[in-house]
Amino acid sequence: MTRLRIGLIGMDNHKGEAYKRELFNYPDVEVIVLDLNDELPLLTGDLSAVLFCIEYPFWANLKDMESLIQTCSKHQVPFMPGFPFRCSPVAMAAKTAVERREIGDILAVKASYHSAAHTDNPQHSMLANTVHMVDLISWLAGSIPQEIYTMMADGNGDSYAVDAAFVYVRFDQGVVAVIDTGYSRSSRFFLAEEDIRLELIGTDGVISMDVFAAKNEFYGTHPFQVQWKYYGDDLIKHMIEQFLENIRHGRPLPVSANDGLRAVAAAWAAYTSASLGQPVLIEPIRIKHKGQVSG
Amino acid sequence: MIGSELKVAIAGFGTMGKKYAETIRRIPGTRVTAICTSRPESAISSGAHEKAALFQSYEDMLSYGDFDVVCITVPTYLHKSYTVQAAANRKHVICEKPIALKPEDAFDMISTCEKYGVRLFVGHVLRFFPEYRNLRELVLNGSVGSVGISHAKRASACPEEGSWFTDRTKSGGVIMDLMIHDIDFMRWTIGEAESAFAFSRTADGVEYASVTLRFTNGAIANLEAHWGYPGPFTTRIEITGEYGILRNDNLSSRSLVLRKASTTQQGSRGVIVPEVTAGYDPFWEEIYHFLNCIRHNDTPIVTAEDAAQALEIASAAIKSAQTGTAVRIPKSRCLERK
Repeated sequence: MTRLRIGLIGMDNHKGEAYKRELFNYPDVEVIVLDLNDELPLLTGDLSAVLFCIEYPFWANLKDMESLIQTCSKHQVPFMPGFPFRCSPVAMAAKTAVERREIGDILAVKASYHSAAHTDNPQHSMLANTVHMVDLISWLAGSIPQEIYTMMADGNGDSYAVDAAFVYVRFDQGVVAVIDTGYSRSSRFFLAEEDIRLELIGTDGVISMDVFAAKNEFYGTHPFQVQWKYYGDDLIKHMIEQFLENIRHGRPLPVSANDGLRAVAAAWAAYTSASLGQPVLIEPIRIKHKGQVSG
Repeated sequence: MIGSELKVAIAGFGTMGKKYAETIRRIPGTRVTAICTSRPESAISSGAHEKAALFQSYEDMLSYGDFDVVCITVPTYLHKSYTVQAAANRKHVICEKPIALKPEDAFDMISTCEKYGVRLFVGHVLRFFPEYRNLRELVLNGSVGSVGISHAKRASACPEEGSWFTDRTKSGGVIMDLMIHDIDFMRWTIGEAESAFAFSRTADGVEYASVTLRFTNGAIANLEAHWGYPGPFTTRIEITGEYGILRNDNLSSRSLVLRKASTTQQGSRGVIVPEVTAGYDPFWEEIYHFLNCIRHNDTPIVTAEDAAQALEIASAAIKSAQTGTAVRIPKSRCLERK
């Protein structure tokens, strides 16, 4: 079995750490931690693929990400943005149902990506959470996001609500999604780190997804406590498994570079819309990435 | 009037008219004396009001006049003319929600009732639902701190094909007829709303609307209303503040669930009135409260002006859905006068 050299970008946050831990479970995988700017051009030549932790652009911007993808493309290195949700069995089952037209045409989507505020990025729930939801909805609906409108809450001094906002996304083919992206699941009062729900409203039915619904409830004394014990799928495990599997078989990676760019562009547009107070068109994605298939 | 029997007339005998009649029968000191309906046979077959006089014409019922209060449960577009006529005949009015389709109609209704010295109540029954009252009390006593982001959802079967509900010129559509419950509740609980951003999507047998309200205190709330929902009647609410989250889901808070082995297609369309299995019946509480307000000249939990402002919010939301831009919510003239 050939050894795989995986470039990993985004080690300054908990998601990146989780990707690395998962990759370490594979004895044939070597992880090379990369930095966005310096090392990459030197190293790309002999990498099997690059896994990009999408949380990284908290401090990067769209242009940095574009040039990174261009570099990978130049060296024929497959590039994958980390979107674990769409790789999860629950999302795949939903996608299959949509493709079988179980709910007819999708009219609207209501989504909530609620998480606790993370210490590594206390103020950017909208960016962190919008990218994941835009990607998941685009993929499920088979549509491209075109326009963003953001309505932000204000007046809350507490940091959890700094970015509390509804992000509206208008897709091609008329689908409209509204996403709650707030950091409203503080560990001070909520029993799970993340609470992610999505409802697809179709002409012939509705699909409701509650990503972390698989949980047991625990009530105890010594001391008095209530806990939710999640026993569902490990989403990162599923994503890494598919990522490596596709590299080994020379297949396109589960998430394309352009999908990542589109989602990040949408998230930045959400901020632009919030500051302008108006709907904002998402910049079209220009890059044609050639390195999708491992050589 | 204190202590004496209140006589009630019911104008319109569809789903809500029957609900009112059946409820009023269980309120002591109250009697239904007249019913006006284009389908008198349905009134008779209901068996609840053998002693009520039946009329096919509203004017005839008003001339008959042996009642103190008229419950108006006709299609929404008729609320104004029915209310104004009742007021002119010195009858108090309990009108189903929404108060009217246009803010100027609500103004006319309120000022006409004032002119003739009669009371006007609007049936925003959600304010009498115990789960919603409890949530509001928790918000008001500061349990979650200042409110940031909230959600509400109301999903129901699609009204029957050809019924007045499906005609927007008569019902105002899903925002005006269904979402108005949550609009009024959020305003009651969070405060005045200043702008609305909305979209709606329709297909055969489906009307779905999503409205985001921004409140003057900086809070935002996303409300969903859905006709043509394939599941059971569903309501959900979540209110998030700096210290916590409040949420309720009607399907996970039922004390009694009946499931039958064989199900038929019946009930896949129609107007759904939430089932009440607790001893506490919000519809009973609401009508009882309104009748007591008439008896004792009290201020109701929900005023006609509240209903007029809910209508302003719904109208702004509909305008936003049509134009694709955020719409500022004007303060109702009815509130301005107060």
